[in-house]
Amino acid sequence: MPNKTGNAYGLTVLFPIKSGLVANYDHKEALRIFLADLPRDETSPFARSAITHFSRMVVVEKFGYNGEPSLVDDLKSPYLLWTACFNGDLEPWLDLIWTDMSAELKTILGHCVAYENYFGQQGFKNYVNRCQIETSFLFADYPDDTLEEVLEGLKLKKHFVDFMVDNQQSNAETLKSNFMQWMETMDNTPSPTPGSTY
Amino acid sequence: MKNVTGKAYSISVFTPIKPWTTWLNKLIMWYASICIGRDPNSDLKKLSFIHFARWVVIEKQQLPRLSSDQPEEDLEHDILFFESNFNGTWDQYIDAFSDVIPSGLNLIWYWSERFPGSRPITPFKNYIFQNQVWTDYYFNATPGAATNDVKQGLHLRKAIKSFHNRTKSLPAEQFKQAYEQFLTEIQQDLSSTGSGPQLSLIFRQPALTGGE
Repeated sequence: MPNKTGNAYGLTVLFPIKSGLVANYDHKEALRIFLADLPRDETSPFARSAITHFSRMVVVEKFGYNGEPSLVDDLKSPYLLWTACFNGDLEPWLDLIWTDMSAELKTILGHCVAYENYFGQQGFKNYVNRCQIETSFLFADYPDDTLEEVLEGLKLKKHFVDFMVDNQQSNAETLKSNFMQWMETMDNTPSPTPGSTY
Repeated sequence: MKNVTGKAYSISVFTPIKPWTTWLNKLIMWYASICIGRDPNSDLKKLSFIHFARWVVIEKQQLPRLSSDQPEEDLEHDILFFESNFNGTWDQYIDAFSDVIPSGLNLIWYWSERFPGSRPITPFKNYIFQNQVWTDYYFNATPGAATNDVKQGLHLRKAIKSFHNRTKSLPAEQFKQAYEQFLTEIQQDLSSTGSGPQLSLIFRQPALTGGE
């Protein structure tokens, strides 16, 4: 299944964007304004659960110009490209994303054609399924590791350096005691929040 | 710049492909999925600054039309979409791609209209730049970590848990010996993370080409 490599899933969706105006802007510009103000750090709606490695949204209104003779393929509608990289299968991820950020998704997809005909969580999933394009080749450098594991690894990486420095002169008894205590501390130390610069 | 969040850059490129080569593009992608996607020694893996990347062959009739009010598309070409989440600058990325996997790039983009080849570098960069679309929103769950930081953290996580399990019942002196050995095993996993340097060459002005 090309959408997946290992346990990593690459979602690719193209939603057609409505024509017409909303609050003096056309829909694609209103969408761009909303996306520009959406937080990208640990306050991002995508950071509410540790389930998404990367996600992007791109308003595509035209393709590149590749010289004469004309090779411009004009789009009749703009599209919202939404891609995401996560672990596991699509449906559970869509359920979690809807739980985390249904308010933002409703605003974003409200600018897209016919979304008003799709209701609630199941409607959202149907809408995504309708507009999904199968990923042909997904490359992942760490395809089998969840974001939770990645974040825990970064936590241990940071704290272990401190442990190592603090215990350079420790004798054997102290070293072992400190290490076992450090492991317990780490078990009770939360991993960094997704989206935070850690 | 919305193309950058933390240490990752998001590139999104759409190139037109001749419809009669679409099946060939799909075959190449299928081959790449099987042979490159899981190969730990692939050149893509060796680059080691790409978190995730994808290629998507989009047939023109796949663009969703959800209402009779939505104009019907009449594209001449199918589309190859490429995206990557990588560390470093745009120029470094394209340079590395061109240097390390020129034949792979040529195989993938050969079927795209007007693809000039991955070498020499200047026409290739112009081609990518002309067909790149700017990102409006970009979320990166680990903005303080480069790809190598993530992989080191994952390795360290497993190593520490394994070390803990095998040494918790050892006498202190033996524990200390094992600990010192352990440090030599994980010494390459201890680079620091956090804010990266300000990138000054992220945005690249396109060079003039004959068609512009």
